[in-house]
Amino acid sequence: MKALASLTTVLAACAVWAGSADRGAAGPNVTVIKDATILTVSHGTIAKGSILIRDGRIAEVGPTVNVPAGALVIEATGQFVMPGIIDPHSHLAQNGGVNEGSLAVTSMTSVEDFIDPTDVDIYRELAGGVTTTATLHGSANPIGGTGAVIKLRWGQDAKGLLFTGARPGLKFALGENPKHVRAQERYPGTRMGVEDVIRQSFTEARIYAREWDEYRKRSGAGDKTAMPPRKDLKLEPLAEVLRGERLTFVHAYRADEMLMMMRVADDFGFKVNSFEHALEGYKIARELAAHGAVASTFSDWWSYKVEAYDAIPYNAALMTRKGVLVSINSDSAEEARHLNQEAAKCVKYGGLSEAEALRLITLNPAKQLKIDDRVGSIDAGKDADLVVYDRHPLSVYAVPQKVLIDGQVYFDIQKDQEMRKRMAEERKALEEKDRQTREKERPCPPGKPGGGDAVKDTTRTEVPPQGDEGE
Amino acid sequence: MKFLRMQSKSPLLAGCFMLVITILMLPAAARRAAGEEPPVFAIMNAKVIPVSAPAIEKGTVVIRDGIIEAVGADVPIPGDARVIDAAGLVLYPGLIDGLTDTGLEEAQTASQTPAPSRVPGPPAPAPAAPQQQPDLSPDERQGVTPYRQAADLLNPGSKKIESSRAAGITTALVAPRGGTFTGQCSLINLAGAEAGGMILKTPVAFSISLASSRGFGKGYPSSPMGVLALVRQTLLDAQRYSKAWSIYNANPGARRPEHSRALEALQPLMRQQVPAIFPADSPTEIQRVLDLAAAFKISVILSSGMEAGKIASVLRERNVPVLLSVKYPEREKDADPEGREELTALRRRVEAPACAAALAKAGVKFAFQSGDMANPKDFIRNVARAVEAGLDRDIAVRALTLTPAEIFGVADRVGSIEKNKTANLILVTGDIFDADTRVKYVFVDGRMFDITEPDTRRERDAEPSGPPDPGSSRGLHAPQD
Repeated sequence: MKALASLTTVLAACAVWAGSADRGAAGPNVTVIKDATILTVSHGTIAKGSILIRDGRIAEVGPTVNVPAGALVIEATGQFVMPGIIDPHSHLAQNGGVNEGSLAVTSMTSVEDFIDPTDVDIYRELAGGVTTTATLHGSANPIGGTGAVIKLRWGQDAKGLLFTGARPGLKFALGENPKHVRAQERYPGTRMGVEDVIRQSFTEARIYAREWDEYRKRSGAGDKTAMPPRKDLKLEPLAEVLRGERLTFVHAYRADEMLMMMRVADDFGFKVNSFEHALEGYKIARELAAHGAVASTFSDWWSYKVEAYDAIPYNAALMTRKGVLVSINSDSAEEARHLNQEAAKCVKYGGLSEAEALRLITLNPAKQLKIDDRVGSIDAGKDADLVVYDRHPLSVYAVPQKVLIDGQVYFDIQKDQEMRKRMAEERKALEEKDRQTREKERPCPPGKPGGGDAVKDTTRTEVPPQGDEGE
Repeated sequence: MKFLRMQSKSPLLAGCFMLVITILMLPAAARRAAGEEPPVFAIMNAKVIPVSAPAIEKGTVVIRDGIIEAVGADVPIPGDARVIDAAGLVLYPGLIDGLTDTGLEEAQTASQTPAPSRVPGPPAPAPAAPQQQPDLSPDERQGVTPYRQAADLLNPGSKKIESSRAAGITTALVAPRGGTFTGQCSLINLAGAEAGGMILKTPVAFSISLASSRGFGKGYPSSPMGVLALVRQTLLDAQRYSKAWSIYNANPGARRPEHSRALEALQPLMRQQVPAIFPADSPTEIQRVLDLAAAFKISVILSSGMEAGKIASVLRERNVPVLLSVKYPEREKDADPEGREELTALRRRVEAPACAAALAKAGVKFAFQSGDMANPKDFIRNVARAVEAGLDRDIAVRALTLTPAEIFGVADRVGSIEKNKTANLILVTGDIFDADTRVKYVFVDGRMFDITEPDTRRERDAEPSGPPDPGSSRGLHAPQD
């Protein structure tokens, strides 16, 4: 099932590097998507409708819209438009290592520093309909680094990808990963230890915040002897969590560890924003709903480790029925390319409605990331982040034809073909240039000194001159 | 010198090595008595490329006591000069390697350069083992050693000094290695009996490595994210350090801050008196460094910069110089023969030599660095590839001589052939970027080295106690008046 969609995107992704003119070039600021089936996600389906986009925002959506002169019109008869998919948990576009696993607490590290706009998976996921993703620190330690929310504006630089206004988050991890990583050399080695590390850290953060408050009070009162405390990059994000300014993303599988984390949060007076994976969430759906924690899970990905054995594909549906806000995340650059199919599975298992299923990958993750005022549904005023599918997106045969972010077309399956051609030409030219360079370096006139040359040339003669052309 | 070379191969012979060091420490007067002071040379009939002025087709350069005394087409030959008829040869300023560890590579192995007063014995422990330094927090202890200075770690007997010099490099900026704040870079001349005499300027810059060399599970930081967090925390601590001390000094009654060797050492960086050298290649990496520098208001020199051409306008705008590496990426030696090289890798490899031309076009100030290449002869050869890829020859020569001197603040002393400048010169057989051109003579601080003989083992016959005597028979390859 995954194969079809991913095959398409794998092929498409080969085409990424061709001319930057095609990558999110500034088009006309008014666009109309015409006569498509519009899955608004927030207010039902419009069987045949249009969307007016102005300056990157949805200006109008309905059975008919006013088409201004000079607007770029995308004819979409027979096609389906849905909000851009939001992946609330990935490690996309990072080149900073994903995990700083050396210490139990690495909240001083920041994924945002290491956004790699050239990561080809950005384009691949874009081709799978993803427009926004939360790219997070890994789960090697009880408290990891801070994450980033990005839009997949392929072709922009690192800062150009950032979802401005998205609230900052901090990664936590419970269970096997933080206790197994370097269990021999690094505390904690048990779930008990994980809890201890988290409690200890928040206690430190409280003291830290108090020191700063005291300093501000003293220096504000004109006390010249007041000494500023050390600004601690590790404790700052934790203090922000305590002040309710930073979202917590808690990697967790088992019901008991999620209950533990909610108790810790209650004790320290903050909210768990979301449990990531939460495969046993169905066991404690009432408690999750009462705390207000989002459960961001997989549809049917399971059994890859002991703590993932008690998973059931009904998890998302059961939690939804108990009033938990549920999202489906990818945690993988492959899975992210067919999140629409992952949502579809929740129709099959647990009987969610089509709209409920689509919300798992659009409006719900938008709410989880506190960006639902901007994205997540097709409503006037929201960012024009849209996917045009050739079939209903809950069909396994559905393939994204165009993906828009801020009203700009960032993926177009037709242009993708042209880019592939250009890329093949570029490769040919580069290989030719490379061959010429090596040719030029090869001849070594007799009597020319330099031991280094001789060694290199010996190697070269073993390679047939046309050796790399038969690839 | 042969003796010395043997030492460097075996740390176990550190004792003998120290004996050499002791001899090298002879006072200057004793060396003068031994006839080691550079004499007077007159290089005649050479094509002179002063870099700071137009080429002289047939010129004379007079060197006295290590300093250029006269340059011109019509310069009288002093009576006491040893004359070198350089007809058919081209005289360039000595080349400057913008960043390397030449001269340190042996000093930083197990046999650390011992203190001269130490009696021969087992190798001394690393003098600046990062773990042993008191810092503000355990996180900072590893790799934060900004107080180390390359000048203090220099090994004048390093083999690489000799091989670099033979490749025409007379001057190099050397950076201590290891950790994150690896230390302070020193500009050295690549010849000398003792380290102290080789130093042109120190410190020139702080060296900050962003590489996470430790790897997963080997302590903090183990990832690029961790390294950057460590850098940022250290700079924050350095900011607070100066603030805390000024509060303390101005206000009796204030709590006394703790002294920190590392944070104390970083103050010239925070005050913009000394810049920091950061390695970065891709536009994203470079932008990251520029953002960090802007956030902490430190001046920055970019190192490596393999793809700096793509972000050249930003570098120009921010006035950030680049020490461009010419150790170009190569195709993986053990790559799958059936496999197809990734387009991005192919592009990076094929386009690397064109980076210099792009920087020049945008008006970015750049110098070349060897980038720790194994064979120093590749230095000129690879710069020649940049010329083939479109870099103007004169700009290329300048980026090997006067431009680095400007970047390092020593343009009044080295980098061009001018009166009163240090006599760092190279005599070569033709245009420096022609494939057939060979380095024949190298002058460092007015001392002549004959490079003609390719077999370096036969090049030296001087006693192990010092640099080759310029008056010895090795100089006789040059026709004498």
